[in-house]
Amino acid sequence: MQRFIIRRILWNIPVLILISMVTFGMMQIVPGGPFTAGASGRPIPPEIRAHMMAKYGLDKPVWQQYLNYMGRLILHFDFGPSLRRPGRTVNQMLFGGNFLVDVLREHLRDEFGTAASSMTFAEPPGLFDSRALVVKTSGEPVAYIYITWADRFEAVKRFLTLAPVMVSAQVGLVSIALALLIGIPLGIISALKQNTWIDYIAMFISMLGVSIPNFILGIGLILIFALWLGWLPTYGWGESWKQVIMPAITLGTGGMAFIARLTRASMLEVIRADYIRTARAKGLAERVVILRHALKNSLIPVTTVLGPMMAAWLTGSFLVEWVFSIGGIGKFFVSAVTDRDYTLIMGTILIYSTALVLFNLAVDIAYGFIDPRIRFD
Amino acid sequence: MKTRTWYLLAGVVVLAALLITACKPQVQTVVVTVPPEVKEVQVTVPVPVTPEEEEGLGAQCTYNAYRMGWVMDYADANNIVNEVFHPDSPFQYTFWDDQTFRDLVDQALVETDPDARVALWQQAEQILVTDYAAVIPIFHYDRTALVRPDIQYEFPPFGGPSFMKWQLPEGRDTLRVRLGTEPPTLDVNLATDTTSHMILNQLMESLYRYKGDGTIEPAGAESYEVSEDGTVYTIHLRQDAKWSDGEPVVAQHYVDGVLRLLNPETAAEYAYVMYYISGAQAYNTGETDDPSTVGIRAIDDYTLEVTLDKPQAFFDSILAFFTFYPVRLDVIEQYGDQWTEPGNFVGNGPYVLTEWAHEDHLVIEKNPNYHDADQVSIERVEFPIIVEDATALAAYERGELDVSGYPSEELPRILEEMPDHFVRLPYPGTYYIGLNTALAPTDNLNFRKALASSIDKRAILDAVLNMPWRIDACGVIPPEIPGYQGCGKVGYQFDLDAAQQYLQAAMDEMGIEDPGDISIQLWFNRGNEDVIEAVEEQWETNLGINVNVVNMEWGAYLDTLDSCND
Repeated sequence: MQRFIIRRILWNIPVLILISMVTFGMMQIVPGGPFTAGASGRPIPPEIRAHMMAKYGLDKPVWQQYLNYMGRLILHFDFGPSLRRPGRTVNQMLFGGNFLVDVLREHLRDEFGTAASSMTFAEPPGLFDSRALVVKTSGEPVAYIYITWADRFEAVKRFLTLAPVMVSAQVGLVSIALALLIGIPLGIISALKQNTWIDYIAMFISMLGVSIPNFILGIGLILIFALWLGWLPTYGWGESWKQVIMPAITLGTGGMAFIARLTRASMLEVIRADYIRTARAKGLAERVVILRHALKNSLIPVTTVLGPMMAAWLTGSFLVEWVFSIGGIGKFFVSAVTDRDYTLIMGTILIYSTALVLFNLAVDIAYGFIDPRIRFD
Repeated sequence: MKTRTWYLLAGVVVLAALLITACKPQVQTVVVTVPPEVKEVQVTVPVPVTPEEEEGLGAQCTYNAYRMGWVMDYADANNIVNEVFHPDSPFQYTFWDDQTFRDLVDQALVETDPDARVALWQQAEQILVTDYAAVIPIFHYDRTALVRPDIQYEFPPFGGPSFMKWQLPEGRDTLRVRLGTEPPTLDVNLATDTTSHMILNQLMESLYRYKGDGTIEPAGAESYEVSEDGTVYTIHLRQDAKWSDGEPVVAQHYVDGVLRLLNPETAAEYAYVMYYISGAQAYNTGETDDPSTVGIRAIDDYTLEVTLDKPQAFFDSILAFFTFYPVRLDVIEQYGDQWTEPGNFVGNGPYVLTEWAHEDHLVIEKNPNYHDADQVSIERVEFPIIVEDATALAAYERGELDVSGYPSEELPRILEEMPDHFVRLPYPGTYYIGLNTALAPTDNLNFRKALASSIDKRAILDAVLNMPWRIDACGVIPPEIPGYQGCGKVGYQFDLDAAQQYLQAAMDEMGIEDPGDISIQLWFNRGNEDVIEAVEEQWETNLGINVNVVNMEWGAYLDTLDSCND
């Protein structure tokens, strides 16, 4: 088992490198570059464009750009500067920057008042440093600030709640939970009551869920629950639990419907299997037969689709983040490409492929628990 | 072994990827939509000139017409007639040229009398639009928004609104303005888009500022004088101006701002706007790395001197442009790239940046150190970033926003239910179709005139765009700019008879009998389908020619056009 996991993880490294290479190459092939048009959409004069290319090293040969990029990424976990958001790094856009600095800054403000605004850290503090040297802007040392466990927890907490990747993951997680909690029971019930009105209603709902486009659903929910009924806030994330409801429904409905249909189909197959007949023949209660014997086996197809689904949803949904103005990373998957923001494209693609690889691995491991016939070697 | 096959496969793909990256072939994602009837006659189309034979045209430059637009930076026709349509401009792709036009532009640039200058721009515009018919203006831009009727607002045509001049109703001190996108940057030298400038216009103050009527008034400056020969501007700064951290604003800060903009390492897009300053272009293009060769210096703390290469009569408009923002190099050095974050940002404008949750919202609050702080009535402005128009409209209707946009489909309902919320704002600029004068058949003047006379612009605005308030364009100078001539005085109006005559003349010259034998390519970028398809249809029905439209995504579009212009 351990050997299997380690081998799979090692295998994924060349896969990710390959993906990075292909993405990097494809970006260069697509016509138009990050500095073809300015932020206003206007063409950029050639001599000015040359400065911009030079500033970001885009005047170098492509293979050299690639090696530089990968070098920084592997050695420093640095995704590079965003080409279309001057002053912002891709790390900040994806991971929200160094939250420990914010926490320590607040301590400085408590300690030194307004004078703290002209102080900075000699080096950006790391999570496991014991202390950080506070210096004035002139470079003159002021004090050591000791980093407590409370500070570290606070920084991690802020990362988990505020970082754009985490915001996207929160939206995805809630939606997946919704999809599973409603989709699986819906599928089971309609399988058990096959061809009754319950089945028809459940499958009608899931048909609706599959067919309504996310965008229409989102806008429709806003109209009904925010504008007409006034129960829920129109947009935003992270300020109130009410903001969770509409995005979760919008993103979760399609998956919920899909999972319901999948569960139903595989449940129908399983309850006709010989071992279920055996279980019933043994005189087991129907509840035990379904929950212990049938359900587990009927979940294998659901588990299979869950891998790619988690990868896609946890890395953010473009539409949901667009409609509800949620500051996750989903929007970047589209905007980075239209802006030709090369470093941001690489960042989003690498995050997505890493997630895909990891969740598929998790699915493979999960098979072992669900189906004892599957063994790793 | 299975693993070996995998290694082999991986190796092959890596090699392929490297090969692709190394070669970088000219691949184009061009979607050509050819109407079925065009396909039948295409064999009979005489194409006398292969594009490669044309000077300066690459094989892919097969456009006869292209869509483009220009939004003006400042209130002088120079910004469009010269900067966009001069034969040497990088912003146009028509390959047109005319010596009289060049001479008129040179004269206009040094003409100090406003009326005489305007007359020169008008003559130049006539040559471009009427005599050569090198561009077909379609309409002049404007912007629309929803603003609560109990708010007093002012939208100058340039630089975005100054919220310091707005008034909220009694009892409220926070204004809520929707942003449609995250501001790409708040670096004063790097920002070029309207969203960033809407924020920067509150945080910063240039030498002059635009008023609601489009004229300029002193802001960071008190007055200026121009030398006899028109090349030296001496600008007197106000002495009570302070930065948000309490430091006085001095002339050197303005010098630093311009020099940082021009420094090639800053790689600022708008550096070229300052090329009129002597030595600026040489410094920006790296001919010299000595910033002292640039014609801007601080004579004392409150006197700024700007030297131009030659007189530029419109230069007062540039004094109000954001390329004249002062900067604090000490702040930029202290915080590096992070200097635009709240807490770090030091500005000289009426507001300070207090919150910037990226991709979520910004908040600005009144700057107590601002010299005119007494005049600023709104204490706080919140800018939630809401990308989707429908969401923004819902939030507006719930009362969560004071200024917002709307999805265009909702306009009829808005005009019916809340007409007093709908405001039309000036946004000087022109939407046009440029014609390739170097490629047949648009190299024929009469044919270009036929194309220009056969577009019913009013019908496109009224029936296709549903924007009856928008102004149809015949010239390139927008109505808000001195020199606007209007339809009937410049260019071509919709006139079927005239169009037919021009077409007949063109066909005689080209030796073509049937207009169905003429095919042209019309290029445009995604998002303009409604207008361009209407133009295509009008050309086909009114002239009987074949129009093939080519639709590209913006980046690819500009890239291809640029490669033709080199």
